[in-house]
Amino acid sequence: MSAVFKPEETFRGDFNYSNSPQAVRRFPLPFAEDNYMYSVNIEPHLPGPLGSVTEFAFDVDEHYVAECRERAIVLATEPLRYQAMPHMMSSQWDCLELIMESLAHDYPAHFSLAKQGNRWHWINRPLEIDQHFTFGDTATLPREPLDYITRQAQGDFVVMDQREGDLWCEAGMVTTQADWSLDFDLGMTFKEWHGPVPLAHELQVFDRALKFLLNLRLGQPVRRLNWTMTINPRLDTSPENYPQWGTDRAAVTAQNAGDLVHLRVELQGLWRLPRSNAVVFGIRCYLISLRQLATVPKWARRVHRVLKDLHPALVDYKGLTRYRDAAVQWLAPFDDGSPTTSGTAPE
Amino acid sequence: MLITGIKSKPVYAPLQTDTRGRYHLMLAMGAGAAPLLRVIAEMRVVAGPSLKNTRVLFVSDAAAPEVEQFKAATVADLQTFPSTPALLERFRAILQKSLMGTRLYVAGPESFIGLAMKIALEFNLNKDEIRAEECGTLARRVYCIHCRATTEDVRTNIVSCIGCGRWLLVRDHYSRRLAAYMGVMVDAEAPGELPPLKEVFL
Repeated sequence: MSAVFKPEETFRGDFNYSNSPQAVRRFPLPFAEDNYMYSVNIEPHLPGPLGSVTEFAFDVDEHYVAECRERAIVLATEPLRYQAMPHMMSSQWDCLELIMESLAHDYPAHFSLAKQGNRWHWINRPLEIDQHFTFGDTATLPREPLDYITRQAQGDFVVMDQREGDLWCEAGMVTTQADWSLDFDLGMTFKEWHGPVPLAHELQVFDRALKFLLNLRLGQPVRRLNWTMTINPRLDTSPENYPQWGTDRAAVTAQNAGDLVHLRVELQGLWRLPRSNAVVFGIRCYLISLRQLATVPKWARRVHRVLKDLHPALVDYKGLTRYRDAAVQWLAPFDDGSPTTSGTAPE
Repeated sequence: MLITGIKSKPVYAPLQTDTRGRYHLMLAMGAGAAPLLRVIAEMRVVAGPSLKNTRVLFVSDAAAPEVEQFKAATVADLQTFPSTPALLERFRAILQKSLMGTRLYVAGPESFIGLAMKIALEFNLNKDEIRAEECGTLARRVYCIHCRATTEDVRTNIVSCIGCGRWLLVRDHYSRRLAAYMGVMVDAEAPGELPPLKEVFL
């Protein structure tokens, strides 16, 4: 899909954001059934259908330019939203290579990468960047490699070092997160990092996920979907800025829920990196208002049912306590009780 | 938001001698002396009367009865410190010169263990080179996720941040790198709505 960028979009202030009809149709609904519980829903990150969000390794959509600007706004006041421990430099170059090669291969109209030995030439047309540098030589880039390339990518990135039979969260660019802090979690093991997730530890989700990821192979990336809800199309729902967005949750009513409440879906991709043997974890965020979601009748019925019957611990963990009922009420008129077809396709 | 029962909260076990170690470095504060004396007694069964590769750093006034007990246990090198920061400074200097085969034993309140672990982590000591036993106050160091200040010696469920003044809810989510629990603004969604203040970390 060749998206038309909407550079005027904002994810704060006036929240000038919406999905085009095409973007609605390709929205990655995370619910294959009318109810939801955790599972180790990991699958190979193989190319999906033409135009879908999984067609390519990294999805570049109509929000690309605006999301990159949003990231720059966050970093200008909070530089520690990007952090990398010193021993992660080799994995930083691995990430830069993965992202540059993927984007240049998959979106040749927007990006190009030319190599002469270690001398690389990177062009990012949407962001008007033209950069010559020497691969492996940090002094030839304006920023650390991971910082540099993830400022030109949508979604958050965490790099996990693998040692002692564990994955350690030791570098990342995290500005579009659902209420977790890289600054606090940096240096943690896989299970420490996921400590605040309820129920899943008891279901052995993290035991199995860790075992699986420790054996992740080069060239065989995997993906999964995760979700929560966010008030307003706000990308930066970090704990750092919770004082700024916390009150939004109290503003939701059954009347305004259609415009305020957004389904927030994370397309999470995991890649083994070639030199460092680290694993990069991409967390790409998609936002859609209930009103836009409800333009697909099947999705309105399904999300209504998922929210209505959601496990109380998940309602609490996902921060829905104050407005879940309002969202369910807003969706109720769209649910006539008729069955939904299986799978996530919009019908 | 999960507040208690978070898996990043450290779990400690009673100290035991690690007989594979060649050098034994022991840190204690207050009631932490007792577990170390117990370990030293265990070691002497194996090593005999002389514990020449054992070093004890102890936060205590020099006249405390435990000091005499350490001396009676013929520890090769016993040093006392008036405060935790003074001990940690010495600990850091020792780690800079320490050799392979060093085993670290830490005993005392959790916040003391956490600060020692934070330094051990900076020197890349592995998990199997470190052991710790918790005894004494459960008072917490709390890292404000909003302003990054650390409030010390927190005994209550919520605390006013020393940096920004916000009321923070103290969660069980723990960072070894920061040696602190996470504090999150408790009334961000409904300003002024605070839960009752309760002493919970005694």
